[in-house]
Amino acid sequence: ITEEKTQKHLPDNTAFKQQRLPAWAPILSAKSTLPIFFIVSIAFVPIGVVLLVTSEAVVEFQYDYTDCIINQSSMTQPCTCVINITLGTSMDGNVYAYYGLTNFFQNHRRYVKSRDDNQLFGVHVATTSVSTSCAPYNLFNDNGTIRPIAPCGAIANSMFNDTFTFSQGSAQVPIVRTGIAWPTDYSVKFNNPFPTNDLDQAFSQYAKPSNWQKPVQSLDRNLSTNNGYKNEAFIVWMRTAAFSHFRKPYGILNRVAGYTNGLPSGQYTLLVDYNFPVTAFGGRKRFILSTTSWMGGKNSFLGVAYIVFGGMCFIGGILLTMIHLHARNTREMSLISRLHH
Amino acid sequence: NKVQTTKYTVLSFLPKNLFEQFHRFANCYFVFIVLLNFVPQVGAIQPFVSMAPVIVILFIQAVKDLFEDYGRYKSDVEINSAECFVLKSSDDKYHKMKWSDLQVGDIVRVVCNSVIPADILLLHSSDPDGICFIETSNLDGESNLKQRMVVPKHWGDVNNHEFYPKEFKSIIECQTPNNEIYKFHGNMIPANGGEKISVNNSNLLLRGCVIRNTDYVEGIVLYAGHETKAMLNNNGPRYKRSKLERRMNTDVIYCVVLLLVMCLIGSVGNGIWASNMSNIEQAELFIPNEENGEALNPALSGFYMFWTMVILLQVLIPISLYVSMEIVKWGQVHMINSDIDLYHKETDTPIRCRALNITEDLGQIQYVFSDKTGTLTENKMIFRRCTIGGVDYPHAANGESPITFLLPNAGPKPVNADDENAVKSAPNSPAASRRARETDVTPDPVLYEKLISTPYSTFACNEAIWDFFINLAICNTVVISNDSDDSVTASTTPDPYSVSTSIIPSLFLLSTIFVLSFAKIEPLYVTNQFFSSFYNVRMQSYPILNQQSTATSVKESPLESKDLQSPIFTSKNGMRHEIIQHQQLPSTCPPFILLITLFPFQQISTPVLNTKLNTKPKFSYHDSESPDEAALVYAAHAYGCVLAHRSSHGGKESVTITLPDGGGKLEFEVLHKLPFDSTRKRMSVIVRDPRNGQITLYCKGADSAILSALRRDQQDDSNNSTDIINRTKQYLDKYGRVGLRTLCISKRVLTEAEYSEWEQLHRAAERDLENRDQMMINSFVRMEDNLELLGATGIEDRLQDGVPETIEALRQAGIQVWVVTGDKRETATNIGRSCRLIHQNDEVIELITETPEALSELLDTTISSQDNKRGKLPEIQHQTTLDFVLGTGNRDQPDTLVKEIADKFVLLARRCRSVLCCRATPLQKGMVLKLIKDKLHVMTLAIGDGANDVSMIQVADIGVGLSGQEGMQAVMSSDYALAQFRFLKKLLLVHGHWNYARLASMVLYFFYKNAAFVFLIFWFQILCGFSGGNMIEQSYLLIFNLIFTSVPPLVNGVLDKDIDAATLLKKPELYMQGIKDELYLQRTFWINMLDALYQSLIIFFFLYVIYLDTEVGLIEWGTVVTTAAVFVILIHLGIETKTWTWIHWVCQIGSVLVFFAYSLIYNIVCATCLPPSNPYFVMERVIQTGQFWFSILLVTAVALFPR
Repeated sequence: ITEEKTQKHLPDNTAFKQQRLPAWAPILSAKSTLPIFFIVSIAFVPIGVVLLVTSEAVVEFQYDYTDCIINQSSMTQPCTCVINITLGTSMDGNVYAYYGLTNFFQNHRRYVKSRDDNQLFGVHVATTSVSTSCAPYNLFNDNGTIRPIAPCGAIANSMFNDTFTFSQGSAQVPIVRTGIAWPTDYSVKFNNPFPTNDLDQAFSQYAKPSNWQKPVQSLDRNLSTNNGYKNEAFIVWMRTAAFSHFRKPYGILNRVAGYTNGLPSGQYTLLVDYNFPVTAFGGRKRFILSTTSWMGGKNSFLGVAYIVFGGMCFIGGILLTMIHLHARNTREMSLISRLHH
Repeated sequence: NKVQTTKYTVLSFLPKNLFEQFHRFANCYFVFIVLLNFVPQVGAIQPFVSMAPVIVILFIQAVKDLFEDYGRYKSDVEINSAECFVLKSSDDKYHKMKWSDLQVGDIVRVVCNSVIPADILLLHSSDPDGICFIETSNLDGESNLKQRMVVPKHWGDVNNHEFYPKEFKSIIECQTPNNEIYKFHGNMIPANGGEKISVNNSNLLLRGCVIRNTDYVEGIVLYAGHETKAMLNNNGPRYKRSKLERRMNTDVIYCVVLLLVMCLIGSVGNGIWASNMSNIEQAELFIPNEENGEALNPALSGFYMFWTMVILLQVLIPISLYVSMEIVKWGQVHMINSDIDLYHKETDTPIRCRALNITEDLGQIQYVFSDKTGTLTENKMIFRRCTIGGVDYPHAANGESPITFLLPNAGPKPVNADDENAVKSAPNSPAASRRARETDVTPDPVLYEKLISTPYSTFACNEAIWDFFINLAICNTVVISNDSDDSVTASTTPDPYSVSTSIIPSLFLLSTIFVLSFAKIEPLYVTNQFFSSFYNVRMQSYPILNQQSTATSVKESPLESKDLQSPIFTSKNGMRHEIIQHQQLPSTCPPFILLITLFPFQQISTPVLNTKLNTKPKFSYHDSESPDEAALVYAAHAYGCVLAHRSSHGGKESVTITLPDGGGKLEFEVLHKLPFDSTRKRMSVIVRDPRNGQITLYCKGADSAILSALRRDQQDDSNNSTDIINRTKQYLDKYGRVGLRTLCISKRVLTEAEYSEWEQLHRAAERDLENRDQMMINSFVRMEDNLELLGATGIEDRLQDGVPETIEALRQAGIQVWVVTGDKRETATNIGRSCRLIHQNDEVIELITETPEALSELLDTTISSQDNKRGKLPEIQHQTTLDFVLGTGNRDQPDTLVKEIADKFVLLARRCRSVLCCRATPLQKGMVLKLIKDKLHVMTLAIGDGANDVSMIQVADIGVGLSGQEGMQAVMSSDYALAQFRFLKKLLLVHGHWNYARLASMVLYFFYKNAAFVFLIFWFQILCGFSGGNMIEQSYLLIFNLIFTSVPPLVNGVLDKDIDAATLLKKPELYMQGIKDELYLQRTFWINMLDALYQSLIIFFFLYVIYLDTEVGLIEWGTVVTTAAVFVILIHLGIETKTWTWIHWVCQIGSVLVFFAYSLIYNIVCATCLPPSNPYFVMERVIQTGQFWFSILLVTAVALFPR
């Protein structure tokens, strides 16, 4: 008892409190670092090769059609242009059609926030209480009556509205415009307002965005599941791109008769409904066809970077090894010479 | 008397707490950012989201404050509702009352062992002598009892001891409430117009103290509640800013500058970009117009952009760093506190960190200023020698043979010992010191014989020997306690048989009690033979006794046989029972009596003097102001002059001593006490000698203080006395040289006329309220003059264990060690030598002058001679070392440290390897330290144990207090409290180094981490038209620092060890890193920033190229970036981590898992929240792509490869 009493302030003698926990102390020395160089290079170069091969296997076709029409001025004035396309190689497997935009800043802060997620979620927003984040694209003065815009905001207002008709000879290549949005976006984030089975009624209170040619309930009259907010082209557009140079999916090749293996090589015609103005701000528009791999689209940078980095590690490792050996030799030499004298 | 220490009331809590919190810069910054977010043009993040962290932090702090306050409230209630006895004038009886209802002027009764409720003027005590004892440990930590006296009675029936409050009618004048615990004075003016009576500290009972040894006391409340000295002394915890923190703050400013620059770039870029775009009609497509439909003015847009950037890049200012540092330091303190190596077993004291926020300063100390007494030494005073009338009397202590000095002019006791040897064999063997106890004084046989052969009564009262011992016995402030609680417990062991019979009954018969009387030398043999036979028997049954001790017992003198007990004694927790039968002692027995004492295990025998037997069990002394006093009293005790009793009767104090041989008592009437102070360096008592009625002043004090006040005519009075003074001086020098503390003992016989004249003046001085202190000192000095030198004492103060090693190690670590002491030069240099501060072949420069001018000159010549010798470079590390003794003999050193001299002194001192400052007053200690700190801008540490070190401890960057013998004042004012000097080694070399290294790397890491993260967002501005766009999801942005990357650096800050403890202790040179700031330079800061820049560039642009021209969404890509950043930043820390324990692994892997878990869960539960970034299902999608994983791997590898 006295033992305990007299030492009641004795600190606990535990490994933690005495800072004696078993510890692994990596020591950086030539012996431990040199292998790291070689291991990294051995791991990275093959990965790079695989990635590069995968990327090279992707067939991609791009056509910049920005200049097929001159004097185009506004989104709401449609015109068309016809482009002849030659596919040099066949595109096997799933073929995706994209439109690509350049110099279009979908990542601008004020642009990005100019939307109303609740509206798109299907919440019936009372006439004048569309989110102010959409301003000034939230309300439309329709001859004195203020009507909310559906869908509101700059993003929706600037929706890409060129359409492509891709055909081989007289036969149209079946490109479906569904399945391009994220399934979760389609099923959860985007919902039409009530009554969902009668979109004309549902959107009757709303005005269309000023740049649009037709209201939201007319985006796809043919397919009711692809209409209103649930239009996949619209959903895709609403997911703002990270950079000003981006592409967005337009449609997927429907692999029906004649196209079961993909898109065969040959002559094709592309009919563009040219609406979307980009020339004024120096933007470009592209039509893209591409197959995909497990790594996504064509991108050789990743593979090359792996190979280069692995190679650099290898060279660095060899250099360091030589320096190390040389240093050791000179040390030994000097030791020997000192011993001799 | 109601006390309220709480800061808040229920109503005021919210506003007041918020107000207090907003006093912190960090919180204001946060709130400013949040408010910015509410401005729609500027807002980058959802305002309510951005509020979350602020609210969390404010909430946590508020809850913490609330808990603290609630604790205070509870203790307040407890204290306020404590009960005490208060007199009610209605029925003249004491009634129970709550403390809170007490008022100034109430008359209170406090009973034994209860706490004093307010500051009370003592009017009555149950003790017939009018004294009471209080324990002030609640106030200053000193556990000894202090005596307080009743105010001299001057009302009612003065001679009646009883106290009738009704009769008490007086006006009390006193100072306004102040916080000086040790100072109080006032006057009491009797209502009936009597003489003013001065009251002082000795009449005041302070709140918080405890009444001891007195049944009850009664007094009048002078200060109550918050005005009590205890409450006024109640300061909050110390706050110091560490060097690293100061350094860090400059870097924070750099961060602010960097932030502003980045914001400006963003803002200007935005302006230019916007003005380019404003000409283009269609740009409206992605640059939304203002609400009024107009395009935004580029200049205005740039202005908005600036603030948006401030919000986005806010993390660059590492606000979280302050919080993290507090947590880490708390952890470090915890680690230091629980270090078992810093725990002192003997006194059961672990180290205590009192300052929480300067742990890393321990790793950067450049100068250590140490007190000598009690810090380097044990401060267990052992009376070792004395000189009386010019004759030296050495005392054996613990079996060491006494060293005798040989005076050149043939002292009366010529011994052929070599003087050099005597100095060398200075008694510092650590083995002996552990056993040393101040109570063990072995009288010198010669002196003892002299003393008893000249009985006091036959002397004409001016025999020096008698006066000497009487002085030792009565001229002090030692409190006598009759408690039998000490180690000497003879009277409490009623039956010795019961102790030991149970162990070995048969042997016990042998060892019951032997009292052997023997002549001085001859009977040695008898005892030894007896001992050996005794122990041989014992050996068989108790193998604990080893061979060595048996041998010792046979070989050496009976005095030495005390060594026998050591192996067993130390293992026994000090439980000792002495069996003493003093009845058997013949009163005429010779000085040496061997007495066998029994210990629980029965092996111990101790020779004890018969004189001790009679008296020692009866008294134990609670030492008061200094342990020296106790040592002197014990010494007198050993010679039979026993301080037996103090009493004060109706204002008359008296002190009783008993004389050797049971020869009766002498009761001295104490006319005055002239207490010790550091200016006079001496104390005196004026007593009326009962032997002849003479008024005598007994004075003891520092030799300089006494020697300068000696009787002037003594020089030519008689040859004899001059001779005595000279010889005493010589002995004093020698004592000093072997490291003894010296005190001079003197007396002065006063005539009645002299006394009454002085008394008149003194009373006047006492009554003066304004200049009282100065006048009192003047009055004292006037009295302490014309002294007659009786002799001098040498008290030994042994070095603590491990002191030389510690000093050596500190020095190797590049720390300059200075010793600043109040001791005399000889003592100081000697201690300096014995603790290896001064080496054998060191050159010692001594600066001892009388006047400032001379000092200045001396400094000049010394500096120039040093310049000649070693060239002009003022370097600290010279091959040849150089020691410096600042021994200003003059009393006013503050004046000598005038600017010019100070400069020269510093110039010289910085080139010295170590400096010893002697004869320093407490104030001077602080001044010396401040001088060095200010002139050289170095980190200083002061270590000391006594009240005289407080100024030094407070001035230093780090104050270390030793919880030693001299109370707790040093500890109370210190940042770290240690039990032993040697602990300093591990504290500095190991904990200091670790904490410095840890914190330095943590701070750098935080800067790096925040910068790397912020740079990512900054680069993005280039891509998004400097619009303040942000690819990183808002909640990541806010909790990235808070959760994802916060724990591992904290763990590192507490646990990482760059070098293990054993290596640090073995190679003190490693400490230099901290001194030279090597781990955290301006350069390292920028290197870290560059690292952050590089890594952010790699992460950002690699991922940009990889994801360029793909369908990747803004937030999707931001998620990839964030993930890469988490990996890079965490692995970066992993590379920085020097030692990996399982805690590190858990935290590192845990952090990554938490990040993924958070993002996966958060991205799935919320489909519409947090617009515009709304990350629904992003993470889920991202981790399904190979691109993501391969990019992360590549980026992480490339970003971290340079490391």
